[in-house]
Amino acid sequence: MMLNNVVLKTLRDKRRAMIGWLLVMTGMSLIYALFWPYIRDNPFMAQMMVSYLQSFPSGLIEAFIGSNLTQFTTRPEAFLDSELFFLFVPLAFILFTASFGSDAIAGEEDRGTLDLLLSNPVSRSRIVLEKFTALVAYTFLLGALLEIELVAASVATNTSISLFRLTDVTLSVILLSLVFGSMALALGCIGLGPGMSTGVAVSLGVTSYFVNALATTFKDLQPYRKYSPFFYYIQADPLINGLNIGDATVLLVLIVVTLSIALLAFRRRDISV
Amino acid sequence: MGSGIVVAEGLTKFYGRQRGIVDLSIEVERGEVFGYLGPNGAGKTTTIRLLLDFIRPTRGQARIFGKDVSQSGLEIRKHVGYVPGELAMYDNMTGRDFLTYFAHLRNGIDWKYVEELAKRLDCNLSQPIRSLSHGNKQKIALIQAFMHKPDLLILDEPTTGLDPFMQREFYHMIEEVQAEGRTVFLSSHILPEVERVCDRVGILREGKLVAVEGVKDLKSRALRHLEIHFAKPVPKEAFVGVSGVRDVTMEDDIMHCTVVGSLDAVVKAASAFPVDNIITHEPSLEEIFMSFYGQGNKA
Repeated sequence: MMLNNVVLKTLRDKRRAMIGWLLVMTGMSLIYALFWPYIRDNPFMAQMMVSYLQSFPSGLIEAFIGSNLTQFTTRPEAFLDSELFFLFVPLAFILFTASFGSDAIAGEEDRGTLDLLLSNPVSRSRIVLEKFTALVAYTFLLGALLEIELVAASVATNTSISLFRLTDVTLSVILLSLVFGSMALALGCIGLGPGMSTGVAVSLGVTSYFVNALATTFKDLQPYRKYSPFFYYIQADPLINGLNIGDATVLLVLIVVTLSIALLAFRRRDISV
Repeated sequence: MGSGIVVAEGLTKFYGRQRGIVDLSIEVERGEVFGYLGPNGAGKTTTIRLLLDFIRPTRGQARIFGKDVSQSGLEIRKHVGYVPGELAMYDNMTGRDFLTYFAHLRNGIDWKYVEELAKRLDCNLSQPIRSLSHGNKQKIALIQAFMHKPDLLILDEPTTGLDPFMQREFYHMIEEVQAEGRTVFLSSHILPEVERVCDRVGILREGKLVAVEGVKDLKSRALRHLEIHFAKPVPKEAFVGVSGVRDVTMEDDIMHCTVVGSLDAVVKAASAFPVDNIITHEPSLEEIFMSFYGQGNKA
């Protein structure tokens, strides 16, 4: 059954890697499950932590945990925002989607198997679309795993958190990471090798993270903030305010545009031996 | 443009400034086994990858089954079987999984035929591909090319790594394909292989097609190094001037010479003396080119 088409074959190839990513998601949830009750139940410690953080230049704080400092010891959502969804979760998701996206075409070409695959009556566009479908499926699976683990951690620590808002922020992180995943796919379709495709996509992800995170402190960055996909991911704070349809649409459009570039570029170019 | 199964007209490919093939025109008829002969780097693989639409021509065009390869690649590939020159397969799969996957991409095939091919080629489909020798991987590549009984087989150095017994089985498979009226385009750098299975041969050198010959003509002009070990020294003059014999040298009781075409005359001349042994060496492709086209006619 797992060999019926390119989508299923791709999912099959990545089965083992997914176990590793499941562990990463578990690690994320553990940070929450272990630290949140500690901070919640020790107001003195929490206050010390906030004071300590406030002693750093504000730019540094905003670069790594966002601007939700005041609430993050009192609201679980704010804690999750600062500790996980601001940096770690999106970064992990981008690493996942970028390596998956670059492996789709560039990896297969690098290993030399693309010739044989293309000798079948399967169009180049269909291969790109099916591999992208597998990427989307696994990114959603990863999101679902994270959400399930975070819900479990909430239950275990006797914390109430909205399942809907958690779904909103997970959707937002899925969309953000798919922007960079389809970008890595497109770079491979243009002809970059797997290492370069992953590297360029992840670097752009990290850059866009910093542009967004530092723009509140460094006013010079302010005009560039709207070019950062991270801005559309987190600025409306989906974990607290719900998914902003406008922002989600921007991310969706970016995915469609990069995917279209991937399809067009791959349709035209020579496959290397 | 001609009406052959494979037609190339003025097909040219440059990789940047590097030459792939230049102004190649060729026509392969239905039911023909066409050999595509040339040394490594002559442009055989480039031609094949152009035919399969993996790369796009700088100039010229190619048609398969009368359809343009760039426009109708999908339709064409339904009826084409392919073995790549640089074989790379999904190492994490078993042969059976690999063939199952490709069978699905071809919308199903007769699995009994796959089993039959595997049996003929003595191929174990249960082992992971990564654990297979090159020859065994090649067998799986051959099965995937033959399994849907394509109208055209495009094979790039298909016998690489096969032992002589399997090579013979492969030649039988080619003969059967031809008997069913299907067509084969087979690239090789080994002259005897091409002589064994092909009807006509295109000879490629440095990106250009220098000749298309019938295999019979090729054989009549083929060049061989011959070494005859006599029981005692014999006079060199006995062989000088014998039909087809060139470059005669004597070394004690061993005679070396080059023979063009049939060995008949030289063997008859040798029969006047007691012979211990006769050794023939197949010439390299470069030597064939020399004999066909002379040193000055570097294509």
